[in-house]
Amino acid sequence: MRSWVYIPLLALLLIFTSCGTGGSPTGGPAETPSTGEPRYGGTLVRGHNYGDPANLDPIVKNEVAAQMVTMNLFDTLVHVDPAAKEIRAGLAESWEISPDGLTYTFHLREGAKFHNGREIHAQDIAYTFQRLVDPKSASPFANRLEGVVGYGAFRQGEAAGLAGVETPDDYTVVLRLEKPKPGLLYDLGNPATGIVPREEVERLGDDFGQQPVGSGPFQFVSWKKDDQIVLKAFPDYWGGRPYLDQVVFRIMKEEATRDAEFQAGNLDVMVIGEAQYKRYSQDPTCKPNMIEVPELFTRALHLNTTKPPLDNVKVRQAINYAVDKPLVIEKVLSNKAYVAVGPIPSSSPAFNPDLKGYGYDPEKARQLLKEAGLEDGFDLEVIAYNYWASSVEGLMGYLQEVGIRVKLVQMDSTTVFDRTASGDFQAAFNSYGGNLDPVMTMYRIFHSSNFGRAGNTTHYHNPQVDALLEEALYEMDEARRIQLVQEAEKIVVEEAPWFFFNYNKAVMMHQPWVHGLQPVPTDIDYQDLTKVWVDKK
Amino acid sequence: MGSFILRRLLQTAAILTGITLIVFLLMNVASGDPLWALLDQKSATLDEETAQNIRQQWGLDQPLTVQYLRFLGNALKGDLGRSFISRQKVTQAVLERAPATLKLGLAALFIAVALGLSAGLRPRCGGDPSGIFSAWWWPSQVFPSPSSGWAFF
Repeated sequence: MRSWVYIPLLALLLIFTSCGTGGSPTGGPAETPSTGEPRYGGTLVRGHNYGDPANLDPIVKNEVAAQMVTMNLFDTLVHVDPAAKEIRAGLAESWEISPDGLTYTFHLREGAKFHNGREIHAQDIAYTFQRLVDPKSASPFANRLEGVVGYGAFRQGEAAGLAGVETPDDYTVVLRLEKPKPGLLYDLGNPATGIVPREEVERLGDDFGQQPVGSGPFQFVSWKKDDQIVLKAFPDYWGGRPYLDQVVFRIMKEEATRDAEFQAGNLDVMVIGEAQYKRYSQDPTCKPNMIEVPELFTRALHLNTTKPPLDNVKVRQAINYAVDKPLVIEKVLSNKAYVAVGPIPSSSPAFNPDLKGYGYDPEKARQLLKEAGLEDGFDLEVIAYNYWASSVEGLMGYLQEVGIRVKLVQMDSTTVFDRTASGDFQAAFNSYGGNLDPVMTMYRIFHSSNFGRAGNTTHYHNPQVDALLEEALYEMDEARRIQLVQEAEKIVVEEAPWFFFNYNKAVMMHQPWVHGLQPVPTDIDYQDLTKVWVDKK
Repeated sequence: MGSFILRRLLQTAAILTGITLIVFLLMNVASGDPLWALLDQKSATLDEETAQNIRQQWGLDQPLTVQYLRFLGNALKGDLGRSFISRQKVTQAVLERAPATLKLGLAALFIAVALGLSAGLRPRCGGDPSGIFSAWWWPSQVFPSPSSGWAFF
């Protein structure tokens, strides 16, 4: 009879329990008190936002959808710790770099095993690298080993193998380079160069990507397409078995589904979007279970410097002055982003805190447009895929205010990539980054040898920037590299081939019983699961 | 009777070939380089040498007619090729997903037949022949034509 009373009550109850079963504000018995001591056992259920990865062979797919799984399955020569911005020992216990930077000698640890139980030898590293570069493998990541002696000859079919990889004994690998490549260790820590066992690759052939066998802390158990991927702890991992017994990646593209499953306590960890962030960050019971990190992604409006009037630097600067970025970030992105000053984000080792970006100054924007002979403004066509539509819409009003009439054209992502690769666009909104090595990032997007698909979509060309980035590419001294790349960045910011908008703030929600998650800036989904443990009863 | 079956089989073959041709052309007309599917949306870059290598290995550098005839020739031998992304055999990928599709299709067919028959065979004053028609109309919404019905299986 009075059942309507229960509806608001139920709603209230839902709000208060929105952080899953363990987060009751009154301190119910649901939460197991943590002793702070990691414990073994249990399953971690992770939300997988990106859709089925389709292939878990590390040389075929390397995007977040695949890599958040493969990074646990395949071990690499060295480990890159993106949170600490450090390179650590992996399958190689130690290594030496010759003074000229051309020879890398890796000493493998003895006793490290593949998931099939066989010990890893130097020949496996050589085989893995051959396979990655082999033109028959058709890997999009072959160029991770570009610069190794014989790379070009092998790629062109003039040699039967990669000459620059040698194995003087079972536990030593020597890599010889044609030119110094200071970013090499970053590449050798990426799952794309994850070590594979030859016998399994040959046994499974093209199906290796469906039943991956590696040597990482977790081994493959099962995969139900578009549903879930299950991994279990590898007891013989050289670093000791991980705390977790099992990891389940539940493939859920729908935000609402993840939300419901998280609140029901069926999901332990999930990465959240703007709308969820607004809700969860305002809930005091959720806050302690939220991890935030400025990710290495810069969202920007890419301005084609060959298309008038954007070929005029004043016009590009005007666009940068026209927008009140903090306000758009607050209103449109629910503060789930950081204001950008330049292309290098704040979590990069090369971030320059002294760099002066563009403040909000519509007067100056109008003045610059006037100097460019555009008192009456101009029409600007912006292409973007629908994920970015609201971001572009957030900018439109401000640009209109100074006379820039924006027309937003939405299309699917591959069409956007096709058009930016071929230069057939005026302005395009996108996010770019994910690489911890600032030199490689800057080189790809602003060096004139990389026009189009290779990364420099704006056809930005400045000989001084080219020279600085080339020098940085071969400079072995880390401090000097960073100095060079920052000098290049200063010029790029001044010449504004991008409207520098924001750096992504990635946010991960976890249940109170999950411990050891890290704010990983390369992508918050790239969690080192050897450190994670659960104390759920 | 024999010539009728033969005629229908030939018609079906022509329809199936037509469908493959149209789908093949549509996929090629739709913009979007297939190479993007291998890369991350957030930092999709690929140098020309690598891109060319991938196209070559998958035969994507060949003229469209060659690509289509190669597909058709292999398909006749029961080989639908391998997925560009998963590198799985396409037949295997189809079989993996077939149980779910069949479950949905059969459930829908069941509902449609039940609804259709009861709607159509309801006794009517004067025995309206259109009732028989509607009895088959519902199921035909699940399997609209013989050729697409077979393709479904």
